[in-house]
This record gives sequence, C-alpha cells and structure tokens, in this order.
Amino acid sequence: MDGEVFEKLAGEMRRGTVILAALSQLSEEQYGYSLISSLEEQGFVIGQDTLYPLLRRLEEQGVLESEWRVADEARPRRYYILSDEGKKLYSLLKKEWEELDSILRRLME
Amino acid sequence: MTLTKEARNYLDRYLSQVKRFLPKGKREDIAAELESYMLDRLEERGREVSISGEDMKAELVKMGAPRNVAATYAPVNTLIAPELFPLFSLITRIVLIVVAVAIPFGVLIGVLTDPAGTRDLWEIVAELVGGVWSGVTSALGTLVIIFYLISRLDHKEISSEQVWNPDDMPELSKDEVPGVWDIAIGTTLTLVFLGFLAYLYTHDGMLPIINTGSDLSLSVSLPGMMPYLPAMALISLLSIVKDSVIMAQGYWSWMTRMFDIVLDVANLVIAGLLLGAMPIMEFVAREGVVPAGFSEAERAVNLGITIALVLALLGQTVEIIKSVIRLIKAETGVPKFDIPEAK
Repeated sequence: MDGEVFEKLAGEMRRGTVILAALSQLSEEQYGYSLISSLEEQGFVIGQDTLYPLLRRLEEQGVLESEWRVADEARPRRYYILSDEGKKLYSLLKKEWEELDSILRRLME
Repeated sequence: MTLTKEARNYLDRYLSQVKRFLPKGKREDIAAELESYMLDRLEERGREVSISGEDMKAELVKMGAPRNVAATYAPVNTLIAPELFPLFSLITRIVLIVVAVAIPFGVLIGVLTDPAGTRDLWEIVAELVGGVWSGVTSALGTLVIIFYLISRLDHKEISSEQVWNPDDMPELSKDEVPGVWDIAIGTTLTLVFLGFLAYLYTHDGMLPIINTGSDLSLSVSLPGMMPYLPAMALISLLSIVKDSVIMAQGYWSWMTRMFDIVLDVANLVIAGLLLGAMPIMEFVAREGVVPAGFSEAERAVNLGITIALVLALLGQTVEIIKSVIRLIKAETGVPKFDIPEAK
C-alpha cells in the first residue's frame, strides 16, 4: 500500500518536472531518441509515450521548433530546438523552479 | 542494422494500426516519428545486427498496443473517435449527396404531377430550400448521434498490465504504391493502346488489310467500338495521371482511392456498352467476296471478345468492391525510411 501510494505521488511530482527537464536539453537540437538518452544518462528516466506527445505540444505552443532532416545517418529524424520564445520561457521556468526549490528547502529543514 | 521482411511487415502493420486511431491531419507525421524512434532504439543493438520478426514483436509489445500509443497523442475526447472518422466522413458524403438530389427530385415530381399548377414559383422555391435544409440537417444530426454512440461504446483501452499480441494486427492492404518502373511500363503500354485507338479512329474502325495471297483482300473492322474510342482514350490517360499522383504522394489518399473507383466504374460502363454493342468485329472484303468460312471465324472472334468483356465486367466489379472496402478501412501507406532489408 505504502509503495503504491509512494509511486503514485512520486509520479505526480515527476510529471511536473518533465517540461523543465526536456527544455533544459534543447538549447542544442536533439531528436526524440537522443533526448530520451541524454535525459536518462543524467538520471531522468522518461518514456517515449510521455516525451513525444509533449514535444509536439510544446511545438504547437511555439516553445520549440522542429524539422525533419538527414544528419549523420542515412535516415531522416525530426530535430527539436528551443525557439526564441522558448528560450525566454525556459529561463522564466528555471527561475521559478529555483525559487520553489529554495522555498521547499527552507520548508523541509 | 537491417530488418528482415517479417520485421518490416510487423513494423508497417503496427504503424498502420496506430494511424487508424490518430486524427487525419497528424497521422503521417506522428507515424513517421514513431518509426524513427523504433529504428533508433533497434539501432542500439549494433550496426551489423539483423532484426528478426520475433525481435520486432518483442519491441512492439514493449511500445504498447497501437490504440494506447495513439491515445497519448490524442487524449482530447473527440465527438467521433478518429478511427471511425473516415467511415463517418464517407457515409455522410454519400447520405448528403443522396438527400440533396432526392429532395429536389421529389419537389420536381410534385410540380410535374400538379397539373392544376396551384403553387406559385416562390412556394416551390421555399419548399425546395426548406426541404433540402431540413433533410440535410436531420441526416447529419442522426449520423453524428449514431457515430457518437458507437465511439463511446467501442472506446476501450488495453490496460497496461494486459499484454497485447502483435500477431493480432491485421495484414496491410495489398494495394501497393506504383514505382517509377510501374509508371514507365504503364505509360508505354497506354501509349501503344492510344496509338491503336487513334489508328481505329482515323481509319473508321478498320484494321490493316489482310492479304490472303489470292485475289481476296480483307480488313478487320471494329465499327462497334467507334462511339467509345474518345472515352476509352480519356480513361487510359486519367489512369496514368492517377498512378503518377500516387507515386508522387507515396501513398494512397482518400482522393486517389475515390479517383481509382471512378476509373473502375468508367471501365465497367465501357465494358458493359461494348457488350451491348456485340458483335463488334467483322471481316470486310476490300477486294473479292468474303468466303463463307470467314463468317465462322467472325463468330468465333466475337465469342472470344464477348467472353473477354464478361470477364472484364466481373473483374471490374470485384475491383470496385475491393476499392470501396479499402476506402472504408482508410488504410493509407506509411512513408518508409531507407533501412536495408536483410537477405
């Protein structure tokens, strides 16, 4: 029961951080799989079923730009990068997160 | 990395199924991105690895059931489920056309069977506009309600604990996108056929003279075909246009499927008209008299043409039925990436 509740609450908490985590890696262009791998390497596990719809939503909101391109491989991939608006939004969200973090640290001391 | 034929088939069937549950405007792009992701994931196994059907099946099970994967992209509840929308759209168009034609026809019959002419023009116009408006809105409303109810009753996701089986996915539609060679061969054959039609047209339906070596010179005449030559030429040209459009698009769209059905129906009509005009072939003597034996040959050739036309009629009917089924299923092709197939 405890484990179940923990999983549910931890999942809710993580969901709120997914956008910030994804945006943090998109100042340089990345395709979906490379983004999943780069987040995973740094300890942030995210599934394609969460990331891909999120990337599309962020692109529709003008936060990201994307294009299909053939880079080093002979296969097209869709590359995402922060738009100018997205860069501004990311720095605002980052600031918001830092404030929340410091508040929570104080609260939990 | 290479994919075996079996692996490629599983992947194509999977993407085709995911697309069924996605909104029309986004399905090609989302499917292409999912395919790209799957291939990236498989590439992790190494560049020299060949992916078998079983490997692909295991990956697809991990990805999740097509309906569930599609649901992550389109979580917003639509009035009509995306997978039902092509069918809804098709039936709605047919019903609206029938209503829009039937009501004015009914009004016209009413006017013609009213010899006393009790109604003036404005009454008739009001009846026509009112009838079409109420007919169209009630038909549309009824269809929306029916499809809404089907969408709600049919909408079930596969729970994450439940393992889905990729072998349950239906096979891909057999109609393939024509390649450059198909178009080239098709165009060449059509040009030869057009040349034949043009020859007939300019020679009053007479084929070249057969010199029997004696004092008899014969011509094969096809007068029964003459009225249909322009239509046959047009259908042939449109068929090339259709194949070229499909090749350029890389998949069968709703429009090209409709176009295909229209051409099949046109061919069916031509075959029916030619059958009605039988016998269409006769031997005509240019010099001398046609011997009695030639009328037997004439009958035999005409019998052969009749059998060929009957077979063409049946074949076209089957093609039309298949095309309509494909249209209803609305299975469009998936843009394939350039992944070598394993030997």
